Amino acid sequence: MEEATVIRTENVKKIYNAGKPDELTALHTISVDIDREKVTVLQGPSGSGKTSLLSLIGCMSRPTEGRIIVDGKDIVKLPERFLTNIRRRKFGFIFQQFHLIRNISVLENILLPLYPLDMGIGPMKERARAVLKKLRIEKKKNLKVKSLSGGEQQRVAIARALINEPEIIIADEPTAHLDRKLSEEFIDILISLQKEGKTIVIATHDPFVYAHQCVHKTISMQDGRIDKVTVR
Amino acid sequence: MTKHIKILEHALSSIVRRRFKNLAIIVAFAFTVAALSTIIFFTDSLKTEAENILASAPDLIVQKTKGGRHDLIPIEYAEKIQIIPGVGEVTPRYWGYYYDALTKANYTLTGLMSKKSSLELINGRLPETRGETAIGAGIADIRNSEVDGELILVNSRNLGVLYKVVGVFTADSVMLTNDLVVLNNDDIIDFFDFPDGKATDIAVRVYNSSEIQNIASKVKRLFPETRPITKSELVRTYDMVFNWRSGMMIAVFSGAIIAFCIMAWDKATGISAEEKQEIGILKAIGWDTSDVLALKFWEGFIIALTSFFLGVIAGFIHVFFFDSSILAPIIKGWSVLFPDFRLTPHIDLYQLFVMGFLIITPYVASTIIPAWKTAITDPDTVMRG
Amino acid sequence: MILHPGILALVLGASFVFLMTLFSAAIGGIIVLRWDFNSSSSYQLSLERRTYLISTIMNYVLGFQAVSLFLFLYVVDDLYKLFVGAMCATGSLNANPIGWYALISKIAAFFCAGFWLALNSIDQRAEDYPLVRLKYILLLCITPLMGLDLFLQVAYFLGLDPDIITSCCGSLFSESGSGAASSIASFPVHTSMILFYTVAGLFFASGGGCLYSKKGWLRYAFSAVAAVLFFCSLVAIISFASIYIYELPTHHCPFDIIQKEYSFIGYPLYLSLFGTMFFAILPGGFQPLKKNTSLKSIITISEKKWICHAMGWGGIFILLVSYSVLTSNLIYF
Repeated sequence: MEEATVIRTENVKKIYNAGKPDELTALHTISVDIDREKVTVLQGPSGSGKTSLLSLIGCMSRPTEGRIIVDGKDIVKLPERFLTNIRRRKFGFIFQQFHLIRNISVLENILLPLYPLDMGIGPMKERARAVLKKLRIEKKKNLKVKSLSGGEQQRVAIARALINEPEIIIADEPTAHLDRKLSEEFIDILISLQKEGKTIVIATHDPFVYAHQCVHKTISMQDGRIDKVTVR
Repeated sequence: MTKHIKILEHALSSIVRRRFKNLAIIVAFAFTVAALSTIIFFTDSLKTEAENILASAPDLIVQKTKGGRHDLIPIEYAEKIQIIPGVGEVTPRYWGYYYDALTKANYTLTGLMSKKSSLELINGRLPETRGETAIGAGIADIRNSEVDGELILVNSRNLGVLYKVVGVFTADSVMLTNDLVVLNNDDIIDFFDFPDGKATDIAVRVYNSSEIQNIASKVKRLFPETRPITKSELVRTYDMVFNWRSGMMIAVFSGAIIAFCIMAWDKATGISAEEKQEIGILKAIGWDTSDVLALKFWEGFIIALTSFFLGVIAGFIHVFFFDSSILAPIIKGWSVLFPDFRLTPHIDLYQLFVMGFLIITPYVASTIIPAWKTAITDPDTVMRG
Repeated sequence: MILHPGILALVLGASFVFLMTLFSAAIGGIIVLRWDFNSSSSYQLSLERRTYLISTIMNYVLGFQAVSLFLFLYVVDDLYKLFVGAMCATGSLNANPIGWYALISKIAAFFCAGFWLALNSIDQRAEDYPLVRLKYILLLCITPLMGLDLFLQVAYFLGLDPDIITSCCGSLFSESGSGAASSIASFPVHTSMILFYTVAGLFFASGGGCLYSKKGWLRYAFSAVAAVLFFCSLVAIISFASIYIYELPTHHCPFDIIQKEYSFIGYPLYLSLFGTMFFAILPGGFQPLKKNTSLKSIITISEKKWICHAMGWGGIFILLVSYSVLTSNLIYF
């Protein structure tokens, strides 16, 4: 595998509820490469399988068949704690509905990914300070998330994704609940992250995102299959 | 270490965020603990009081038996016991029980055993001559008597006898003296019509406490029809009774604790959608199953510990500051002259530890499986929605 | 049955623990039969998840066994007042012959649960779960021990009769008596001290050797010396440490030292002794597993911590014994 590829999937299949009446094949034999330090978009309508593929790429679940290689290591057979270890060190996630814990403060939300890393309290606070400053939400750090606007919550979600200094950022439908202005702000942040050397993978059906000039590769999906792959 | 501290912090924050649900559990749990700790504090305190009282009891009490029942003992036995090496003071004791039809209460009538009596605490004085009496505060109360007052009792020949009250025992000695009537020895012998040369029992002091058992054996050999009772046997019997009582209560309350744990299991299993989502988020952002299990353990432990301390404090206040007002009617039962005493606040750390062990352990155990079921939430549930 | 609160706590707790161990063993049995590391089916995933449950339960079991061992000691020490002739835990244990077996089974259960957890911890750190079958077969073997622990405790407490006249430590640990306990009590103080400190020296030397060298035989030696030290320490407590603590040359009881009169010194003594033994058997016990390549580096890293812990606890034990001897008012020599 070339150094340029950070994640590769080989003939991965994902079946939910196998053997049950509601069995669903979300992915049919998918093979994709995610390029290092580039922006890759998984594009397709709802139900096309992009969220399932994103989940596999992000080490959040295991495929029913096939291999997934992250930084040269096949992760499919790894026990859950090793998968989790890779996920917490290499990946940062931005979810569709942000999925912040609304009744705790911004700072507490941001620090959550660091707790299992067993860092000292000083370094934890240092990182939090840096990331809050970068995303211009330091003044809101002690406010409860539920009292923030949509744009502020988006920045908290990004801050939480960056706190563990990941190499790879995964974003699932990040602009689904944002207006145009906030979507533009979001893309600007992603571009700056990519320039810092981070690999970005986004699942979206928003043309504003997948047609953006910062996108290096677009993988179009339909019904759990790859339709086409476009490289800029 | 930092990891566990931060997880503990998050557990605390999680408990506060779901305060109503957790408060309901804490209140119910604390109530159960309060009931159990009330019993334990009460019996333990009585046990301590009894031990203090027994400290002043004679080293050996020699009683005569006939047909397996208590009989009066010849005083000449005291002379023979006195010559046993190692024996100190030997005192024949005259005492008995008296049923007062007027107040439907039982009194203990006793002669004055020696000038240096353990019954020191008194308003007034002890009886010096015939016709005088010192009485316990409980009797003074129900017979409306006081120092320089009168007390009429009906003797064994069904004749009323008038005694002048020269002393009333103070409230401090109420555990020992509440139902006590102290008379001159001749008065007691006359009252109960004890035959000449006979006493109720013989109290023996022994110089070396390690020799008590030996001397008891010698007494038994000298007088096979007697029953020498050592102080340690009394202590043992009291200990057994109190252990039995508190153990019995714990056995009963174990049922309540188990019922509570079943409820705890049920509550833990019925996790809310919000909580499930929160766990999903934690798993998604890098928490392992074992991290979530640690979180759930701390939540359960904090709730159990809080309930335990609240329950124990409530029990302590109830027993030592409110005189076990809820429990007292159950314990008083048939006793009319129940001492109205203030128990000395006393905590036995061992009892506390055993209680904690009995309560916290099953609670935490009952939450293990529900916690695990929550902790194995798939990390991608937040993505699938 | 003596309805003593401590007894109820012990019996109820042991019942819970046995049930939980039984439950874990049942799941463990399924894992032994159905485990297929190479499968990525949802069933294999569910088996993997069940290993977390068993780990949690066994952590709990070990915690309980550690606490209940000391609670058992405290309870038997508290019960002695009920038995004529008893003056400490020895008398209570003698009141029913099963007592000593109950104590030994408790100690064995504690060490077995601890060893299993160490094995589990090593296995979980390897990427391929190389010890899965071994550890769950071991769990199936440990389960009857937990059952035996429960049975012996119940049988002991049920068989206690306050009317029994028992003998106290004065006769059991008497220098003039017969039996193993008397033999230990009559062991010459001077010889016992030399033996104890020599073995302790060997213990630290072998521990130091393990830290500086990777040789496998040193690990075996360290664990073996630790086992010898354990028995020498028990002999040391009975033959000389006790007499300095009690300041009485004829008082050799190993249980009176847990009483209030002696500042409960028995608890830290026994805690440090068990701690030493627990950590010291691990390096030797796990040495054969280093043949597995995925475990070698994991065990090597953990080993260092075990050896340091063992030496740390051992140091505390030796300090406590030496302190008791040096600060005692008894002048034996």
